[in-house]
Amino acid sequence: MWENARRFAAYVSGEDSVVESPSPSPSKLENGAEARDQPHPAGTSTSTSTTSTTSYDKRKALMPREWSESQRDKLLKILNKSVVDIEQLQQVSWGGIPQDLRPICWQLMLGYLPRETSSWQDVVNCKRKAYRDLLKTHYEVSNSRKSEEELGTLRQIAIDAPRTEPTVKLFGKSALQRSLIRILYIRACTHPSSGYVQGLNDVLTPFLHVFLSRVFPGDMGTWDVDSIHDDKLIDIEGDCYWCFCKLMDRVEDMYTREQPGIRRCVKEMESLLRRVDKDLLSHMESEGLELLHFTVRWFNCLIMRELPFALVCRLWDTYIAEGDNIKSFVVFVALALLVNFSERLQNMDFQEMIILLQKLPTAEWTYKDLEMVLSEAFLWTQVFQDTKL
Amino acid sequence: MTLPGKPDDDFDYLFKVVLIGDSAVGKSQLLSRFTRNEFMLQSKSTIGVEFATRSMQVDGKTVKAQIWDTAGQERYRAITSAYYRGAVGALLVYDITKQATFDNVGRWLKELRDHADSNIVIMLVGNKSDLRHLRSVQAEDAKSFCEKETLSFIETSALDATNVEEAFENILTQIYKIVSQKTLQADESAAKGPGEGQTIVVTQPAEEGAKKKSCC
Repeated sequence: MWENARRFAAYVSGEDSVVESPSPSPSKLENGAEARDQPHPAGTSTSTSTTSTTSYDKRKALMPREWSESQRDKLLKILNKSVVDIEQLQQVSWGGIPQDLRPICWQLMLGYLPRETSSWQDVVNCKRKAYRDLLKTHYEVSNSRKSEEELGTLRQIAIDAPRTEPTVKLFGKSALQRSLIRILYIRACTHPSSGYVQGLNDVLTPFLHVFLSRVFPGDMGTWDVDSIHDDKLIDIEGDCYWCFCKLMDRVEDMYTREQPGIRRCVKEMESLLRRVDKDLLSHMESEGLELLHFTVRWFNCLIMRELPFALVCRLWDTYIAEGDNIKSFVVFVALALLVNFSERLQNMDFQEMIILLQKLPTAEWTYKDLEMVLSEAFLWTQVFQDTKL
Repeated sequence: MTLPGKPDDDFDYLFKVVLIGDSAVGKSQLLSRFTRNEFMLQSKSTIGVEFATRSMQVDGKTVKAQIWDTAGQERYRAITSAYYRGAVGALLVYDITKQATFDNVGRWLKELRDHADSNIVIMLVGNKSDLRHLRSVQAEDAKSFCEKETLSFIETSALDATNVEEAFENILTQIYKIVSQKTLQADESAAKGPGEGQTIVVTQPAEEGAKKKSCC
């Protein structure tokens, strides 16, 4: 048991750390009470990830302290077992995961780490090696040996990488630009049915951010990722790659030819809207506004573009905890988000509505606002769970 | 079929125009320059469509352009082609520094001809004209292509604002001419003059257009 706790604590504090990390020591992590006195070791980076370009008050984005601590205690209890109960982990993680426990919780819930803690390190080593092999097979070959289609994919990814969440400087750094390109390209090669679709670069960012937080302490703005050793970066890249693939597998049909999953989401959302807010739907219809006018982006990027980046990882906690249900859950999140603006929308004409909907005023949103939307989405899943849409 | 949007009192005509073309040729930047007079230093790729409007004076009338900016990746075409419905104009954009984006123009034209209204007005736009030293598509080549395909042509720079206003003004004027001629014909057949503040949609058959006029 002690062995397990130590392994777990090492994992959480980042056995990869490249810098002297102020993360809590294993003994402190085992003890929730002591951990509480720590000034949120790695727990501030998400909240401060908004940029200097916004006037966002970073303290606002922090999780409420008490909430975070009780979550932490519950999660630690689940994680400190030799075999982790994934269902339990999903249940608790649904309500949000403290920053420093995020990497491990995501990796477990996505099935990247096995439930048996004793084999974590072996599995991770093996997966990281497999990623290196994929790099060699697909990426580190000369262009003359790539197909026309592969070159086209690579070009598209190279166009989009610099346009990835430009408000967060981290993703613009050259080391991360390379990581983005490699991960997206290899996934496109290994998943030819979906390939690369614009917007997947956005969907990948929470993984990079969260898994890098195991290596770098403190505020994301201070992470010197360009100085990180290549080997280390590729290890983290491998973790990101596999977890990104696992999440994508759950929503695969959103990105296959003609994107049938997106069409399904839009259809389901319309059917739900008719039941929960008929007035809004009627108003939209009378103005000629269709859901398709604005929800393609919502679903294509799993609603992350509609929120400030600081809240996206929190949204991902719930998505990942939903397991395979994410496919339908995302529709309920979209519904809750739309209905959140119902009153305003009903006083608007076509043009005003679409301008609001394509740039939702969520820049100042806090965890509380997002969690209201998530709770509402959850309630509706309960109401409609047996209904055929 | 009417275009979405209230025919309120601040315009005489409402025209839907789509922006299409390969990824990263500057479609969203053209839209931003035209509607907000801004060039975005930090921009994300467009997913699905983005929408903006601006009104202009054409021949003494207020013309409101409702512009739909579409995603460039080929993969999205199945979805974005749905947005062509009701469009009376299209700006087909390529990047003068990227030959491949010009080579794809034919495919975009086919896309429009397959999915958009047959009498849609199309203008070819060579963007990024500020990058003279990197030019790889000669204006002459684009011009002769346009002559063959009977399209109009302009080179623009969303960055330094060269010709952006002109590009939109040109296409809106062309659309206006077609519409006002149609209206004239419709009026002759209906023997009824148009009133003020009416929305006229070029894609409607003339009779239906005349009918709609009174109810919009």
